[in-house]
Amino acid sequence: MSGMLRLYPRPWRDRYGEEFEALLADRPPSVRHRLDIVRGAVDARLHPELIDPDHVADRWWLAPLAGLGLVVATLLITLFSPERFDAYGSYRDASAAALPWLGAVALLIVGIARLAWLLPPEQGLMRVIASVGMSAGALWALAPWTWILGMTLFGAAAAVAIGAWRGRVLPGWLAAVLAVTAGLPIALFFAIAVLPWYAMREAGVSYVVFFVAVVLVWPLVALCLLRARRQDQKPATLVPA
Amino acid sequence: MNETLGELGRFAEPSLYILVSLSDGPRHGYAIMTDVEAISGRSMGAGTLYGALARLEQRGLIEGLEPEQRRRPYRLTALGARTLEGQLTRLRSFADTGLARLRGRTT
Repeated sequence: MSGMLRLYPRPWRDRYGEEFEALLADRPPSVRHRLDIVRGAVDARLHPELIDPDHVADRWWLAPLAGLGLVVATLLITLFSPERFDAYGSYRDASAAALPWLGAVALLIVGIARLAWLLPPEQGLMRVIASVGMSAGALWALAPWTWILGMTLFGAAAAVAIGAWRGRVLPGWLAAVLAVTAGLPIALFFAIAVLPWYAMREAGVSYVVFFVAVVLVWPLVALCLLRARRQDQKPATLVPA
Repeated sequence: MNETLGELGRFAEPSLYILVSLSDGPRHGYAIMTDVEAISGRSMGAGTLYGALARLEQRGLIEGLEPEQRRRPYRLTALGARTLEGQLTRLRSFADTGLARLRGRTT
């Protein structure tokens, strides 16, 4: 298989790969046409529904991806926020990060809600769990220091992942990655919470893993929305009216 | 562009060329590519060609036949032929209008 062909998703290669390679053998691509192939591969990844009509063809995945941008903005604003001093010591005044944080959590909730919407009816329990978690997540957006609410939101992501795996909305590996990534902060949060204070000093690595997993949930939800397949609806009609 | 091809975005024009290329019989990818070059005077990359083919096939305007030595020929469907005819008729009407106005222009 040629390197250019590897850029395309597997279902696309299964359908067009052989004739595509024959075409490239007939006419080796110039530099300009290689760029055209790269562009075509990006298009094929953005439009999986062209090969498989069951694939969800919409742009909801952009919501959590935009949310990731706001998470980065929140972190940067917090990092460079002015230092304040009070009777208890010093702290960073990150109030300017409140708005991007609100947006970041809202967009993550939109992404999780869309995934929950795609679950088949028999995964109703996971939808209910996700709804509860998303409601708590909305409160977390307003009070980011209440991490327990955030953990409930990640619980929603994990529940949706399990529902998507059981309902075959997502490939098993992707649902597992989302469930583990969303579940990891929850496990670490409770582990750190019950550790004695002297053990907390040794928990630096756990904090790094915790925050990395938290941030990873945004792009993972976006990826899940890109790869999601409908199970509860008939495939869209191919022929226009 | 009519609605069927217009909704294809940047693939609308290549799709029209492909439909014209298939209008006189089935062709495989390489043959379409060289024919489109002859029709339009511009080369079409493989990425654009297969992006357009996938969209046309998904909409039922063309269909793939059995491959011959790894090369799969495509042919126009009845819906594809009607769509192409409508498209070309609109283009002819557009061109006629433009030319008539140009001839009647006062300098």
